[in-house]
Amino acid sequence: MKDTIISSTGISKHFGKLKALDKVELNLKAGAILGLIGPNGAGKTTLLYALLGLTNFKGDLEVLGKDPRRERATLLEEVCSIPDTAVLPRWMTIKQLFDYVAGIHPRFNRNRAYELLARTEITPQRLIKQLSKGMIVQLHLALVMSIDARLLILDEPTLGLDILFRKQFFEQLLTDFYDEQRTIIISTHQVDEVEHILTDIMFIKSGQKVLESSMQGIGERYLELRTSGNASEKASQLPWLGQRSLLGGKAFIFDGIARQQLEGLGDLHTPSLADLFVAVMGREK
Amino acid sequence: MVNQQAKTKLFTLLRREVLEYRNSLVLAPAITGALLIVLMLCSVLLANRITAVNIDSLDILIDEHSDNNVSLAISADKNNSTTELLIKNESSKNPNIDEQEWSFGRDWKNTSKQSNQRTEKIDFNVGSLNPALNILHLIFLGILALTGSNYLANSFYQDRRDRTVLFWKSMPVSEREEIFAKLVTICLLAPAIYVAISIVTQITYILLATLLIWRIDGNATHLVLDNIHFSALFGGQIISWFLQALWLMPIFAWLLLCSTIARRSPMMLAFAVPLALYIIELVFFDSNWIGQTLGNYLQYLSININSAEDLETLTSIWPPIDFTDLFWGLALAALLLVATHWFRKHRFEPQ
Repeated sequence: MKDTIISSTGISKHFGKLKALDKVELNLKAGAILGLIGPNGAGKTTLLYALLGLTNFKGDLEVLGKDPRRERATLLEEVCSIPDTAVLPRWMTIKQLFDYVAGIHPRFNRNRAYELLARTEITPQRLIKQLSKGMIVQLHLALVMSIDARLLILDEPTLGLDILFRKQFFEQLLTDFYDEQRTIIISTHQVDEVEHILTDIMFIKSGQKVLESSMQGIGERYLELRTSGNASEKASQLPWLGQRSLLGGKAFIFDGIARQQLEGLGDLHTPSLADLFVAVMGREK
Repeated sequence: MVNQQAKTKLFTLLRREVLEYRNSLVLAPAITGALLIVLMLCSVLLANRITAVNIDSLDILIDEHSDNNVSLAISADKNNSTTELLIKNESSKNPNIDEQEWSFGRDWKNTSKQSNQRTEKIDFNVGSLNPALNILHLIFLGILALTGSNYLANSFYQDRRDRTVLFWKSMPVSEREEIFAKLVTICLLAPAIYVAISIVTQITYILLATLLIWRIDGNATHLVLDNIHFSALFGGQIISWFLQALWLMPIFAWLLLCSTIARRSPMMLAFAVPLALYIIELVFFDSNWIGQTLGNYLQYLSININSAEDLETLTSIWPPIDFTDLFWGLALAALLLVATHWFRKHRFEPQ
């Protein structure tokens, strides 16, 4: 049986009258890669801050058996995060940065950090302010991957980077960090780029959890039908979750409808996360 | 093991402070020390230039200003190729020198009538040099007050402004440890750096003064070293800071709090809030409790110098400690630090 990494009941957080989080429940086992997906202002960052002990909230939350509100510093010995792009101190050299983390973090492996850095064009003597945005993200990733953490939290880690850096980032995450004892939570807008690495997803909107499922569960529960002509008319009579126009036809996403009911109307397959996200958010409107 | 880890962590946090604020904490005192040494060096070089001409030249200048009848005479000795400049008070006794004896290729020396009094003239009692060296140290303390205030006002503001707070908070360091590191930096580390550089500057001054006296054939041990009471000088300089740090603690804590909550300029906030409270109390309540309390407290930070003797040791230039006021000051500092901790924990979002 896998260890429970996160368990929570009804996390709520208000900023005045604004509900940033409204009784959100999140439970996660070791080895999961959770995609936290939602529009801007949905409450993703607030939820991640709650997990990291960076904000106060109502409700019960345990991360690795600790309450982040009271034991943040101890918790962060086993939890790493990239809270945003380009937040590394620009006045430091890379060597000074590694020295700092080595002095602070009991689970940091400096040799591994230099090994990972050697694969890039970054040299330890350089000042961080001399690096490009992509290089800073590479450096930050090398830093967190050199920490023997059980949970890694990434909040929009590739925002503003070009597609080459983004691809490389997620590939490296899988090959150099992930194993079945480690858990990753990724909050991102680039849904289609992380889809293939996720084991679980959570859609969040206006502080509320809209959908939580394993990727396997998505395949079992949702179907996308691509159809045209009369079949399209028939499909539109069924209770669809979302629809969109295609070249010469239409695509429908169905929730919980038996595959047999749709067979013969067109091509059936599991919807992409991006399409499912749009459909679910459209329904919520 | 845990203890060692805590020590390493504190050392790393302090190292970060020095690296991040090296302009305020290291470069400012180093440049000040260097400038003061260059000034002293210039004066020594200038003095050396005078002594190269000869100490008697000074006598000439002194005689000129004292309206004595100075006369210059050059005696030429053809045989030993030496030409002597004679300085006499009586203009009537001018030697008669044959113009044919002039030769500018000869060695020259100048001699005054008072040359035999030279040693006695500079071997006077200069008194204690502690006040002069303490004034030098006060320059460093003044700069520490400015750079230290700037350091504290920016310490929890700058990282919110450049968003690096998100990185620092991703590390296993509690807010308590962060605040403790800042206080250790301002109370111990920064003063240690400033005092060390100040002492090095003072020792350089002493060495240069010794060199200067030695160059003009004075008794350096008697004139310089015997007139410095080293234990009172350096002891007073070290102890006085720690006494002042206790009095300054509420100001340190206030600056840290302003640094934690300010949206724009923490320094402006630090001045604006007490000023606003003072004006509000004066206008709406017709009383001046805030102004009087602040004035009463700030008097402990004022320097009272009536004579050079007051500067013999730095501990004697500040008012005597009132333990009741000190207690209330430290209690206020504790409250402000608790507030700083709360805001740093719950209201740290980047600007």
